[in-house]
Amino acid sequence: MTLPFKDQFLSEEDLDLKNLSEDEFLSWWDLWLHQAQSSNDDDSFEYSHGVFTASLPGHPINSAVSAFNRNRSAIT
Amino acid sequence: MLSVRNADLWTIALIQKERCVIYIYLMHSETIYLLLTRQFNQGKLRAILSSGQAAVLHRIAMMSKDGDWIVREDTESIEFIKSVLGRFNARYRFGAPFDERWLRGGWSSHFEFYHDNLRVRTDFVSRPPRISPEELTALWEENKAAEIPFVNLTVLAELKKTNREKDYAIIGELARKMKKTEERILYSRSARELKEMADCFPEVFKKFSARRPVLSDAGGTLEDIEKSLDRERRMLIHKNERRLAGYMDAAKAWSDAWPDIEKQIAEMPLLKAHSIIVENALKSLPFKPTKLSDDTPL
Repeated sequence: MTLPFKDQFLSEEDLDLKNLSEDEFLSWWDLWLHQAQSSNDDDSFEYSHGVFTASLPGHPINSAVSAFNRNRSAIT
Repeated sequence: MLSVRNADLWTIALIQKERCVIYIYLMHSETIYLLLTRQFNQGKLRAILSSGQAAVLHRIAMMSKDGDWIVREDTESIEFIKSVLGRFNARYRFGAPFDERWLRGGWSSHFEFYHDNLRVRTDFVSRPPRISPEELTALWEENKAAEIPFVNLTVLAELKKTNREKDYAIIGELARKMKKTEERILYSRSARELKEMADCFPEVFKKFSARRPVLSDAGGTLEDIEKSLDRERRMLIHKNERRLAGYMDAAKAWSDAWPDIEKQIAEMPLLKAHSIIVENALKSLPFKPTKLSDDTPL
């Protein structure tokens, strides 16, 4: 029996990645990373993977190190 | 030596001079995570892109700002990757030293730097959770000729069995992309699809029901399967929490020492900071946690 609904895990926009050309995909990926920077302050102490679940929130040196890093330019 | 690689609309010029590597973006640039993966693997396979950015490469979803890699557990690979990070002025975040003595114990190392208006985070493990030594060996083997090595669908599905609810939705979509019926059955998060597959492949469900208890309920109603899937998700979340608790316990002295260490290394180049980190970690971070839950393989 075919059931009328399909379980939906992700949005249509997510699933549309497979329909992008290679160039569109790479451009969208880079754009997404840049747009996602707006949440940096919210997740500054978080870890996405690994065995450490959080850095040390509230420690003043964390802010100083982040500011220092932002002001340095990478070698390119 | 100048080598130029053309790929559709963009060109990357690689100039090597006196052991310094300078990358020039001539038109469009690839994302930082592809760039890093290429650099890490220059001349030899050392790092396999994992987790969120691997989900992107599988065209599942854009969901992570950070880069995760599984690295080879050898000195040359780790030193090479560290030198790449050093050129990007990466800084240690709180975590284990990027050193095989700790990586071997399942610890993770974490770095951060800024590049092209991006906050870039790079996280490394050599022994990812829930991946057996045999599966890890196979993963290295299957990626040995890959231009951009990244984890396959089943390894990624295992890695996504985390504490986060959203990762189980990703597992659901990963399962739909798996070609082998057995794999789809082992990883599906859809009650509807499990019910349909149970009707078509009862022998496979019977074969794997000990490995995945949800499969035993697939003959029941849709609601039965949904409850079983919810129970499974909760069980996996708690299992991962227990695993992480063992590491957090073992890192207590290290986390107490970290603020002073971080102050000490704040303006140091990475390679120098690394020496300080290792010197201090030898005093307060065990190579391997002594107390892990019974269900944590290491």
